[in-house]
Amino acid sequence: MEYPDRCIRGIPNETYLTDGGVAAHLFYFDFQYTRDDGWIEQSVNWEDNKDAIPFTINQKTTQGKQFKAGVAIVPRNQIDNIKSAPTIRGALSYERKSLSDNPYHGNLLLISGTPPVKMKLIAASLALQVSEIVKQ
Amino acid sequence: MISQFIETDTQNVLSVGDVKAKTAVSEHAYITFGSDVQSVLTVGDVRAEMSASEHPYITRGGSFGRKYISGVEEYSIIAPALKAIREAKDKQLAEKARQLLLKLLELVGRFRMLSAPLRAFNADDGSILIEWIFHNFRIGFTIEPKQEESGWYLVSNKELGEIHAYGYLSGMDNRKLLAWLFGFVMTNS
Repeated sequence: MEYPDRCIRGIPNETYLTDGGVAAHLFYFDFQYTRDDGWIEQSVNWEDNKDAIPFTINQKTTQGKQFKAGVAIVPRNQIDNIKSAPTIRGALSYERKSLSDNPYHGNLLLISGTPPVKMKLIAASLALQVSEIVKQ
Repeated sequence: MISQFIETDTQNVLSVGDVKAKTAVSEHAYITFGSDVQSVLTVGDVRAEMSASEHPYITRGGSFGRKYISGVEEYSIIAPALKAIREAKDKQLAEKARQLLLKLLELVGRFRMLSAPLRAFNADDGSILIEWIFHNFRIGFTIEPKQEESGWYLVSNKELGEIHAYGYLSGMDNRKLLAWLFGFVMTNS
């Protein structure tokens, strides 16, 4: 399967922004989203074309804009570097999973059983590699 | 607990809990609450009585022992994190996070190092995240509701070797860990 060069993570609100970047907990995995195949999902969009970021910025819930503070961009080659790090290998992956109302949708995946501190190490690694923030 | 800024008229004596302080005009004093008052310190125009078990943070220049941090700059390193922690719903967790920040501040004062401020965040999973963020790396501490799950991490980009180190905070001498992490900060910030 082919993937684009960049991954888009929505920023729910300003509390995730700090010092010109994002805090690690923007990329925390929620263990309640564990699937039967043993992976834990974290929603992202893939930047398949120039419309992907505006599409994500404008995503809405019943309470208005879903990502009030914009979106964070992570280069996929950096995700691959993190995936292959000796202390992380096997714990992190990603996938496409388009939805009827979102063709760009995908997931970052964390293997279940990962201890919280290791999950947060991975989250911090992703946050460190954010190359761009596009604000609302 | 660090009190708010207090500005006084000349010669006035302030009482905040067990701590008294006298400040000059337009001085800003950071005063801790103490108990079992045991010692009296005088630095410039600021006089404070405090418990020997407390770590006071007092302005007006000049350090007077390793328990005490002088100046506004060192305190400003943890001030944003302390402010965020006050909003944590779990007060016991907030106190653990505060204690960690005080240990970090003690080390900062010892190394006389001024750097980027520490940040704290109240995460949706009920934990408190403390991050020290630099351009090429970041250090984090996670204070978890289950104490045995609290941990630390150091991550760096390619320029600094793509480090992905982590460990637990409980059951270890945290001062040695913090000193090691500070060594990394001093070398690379």
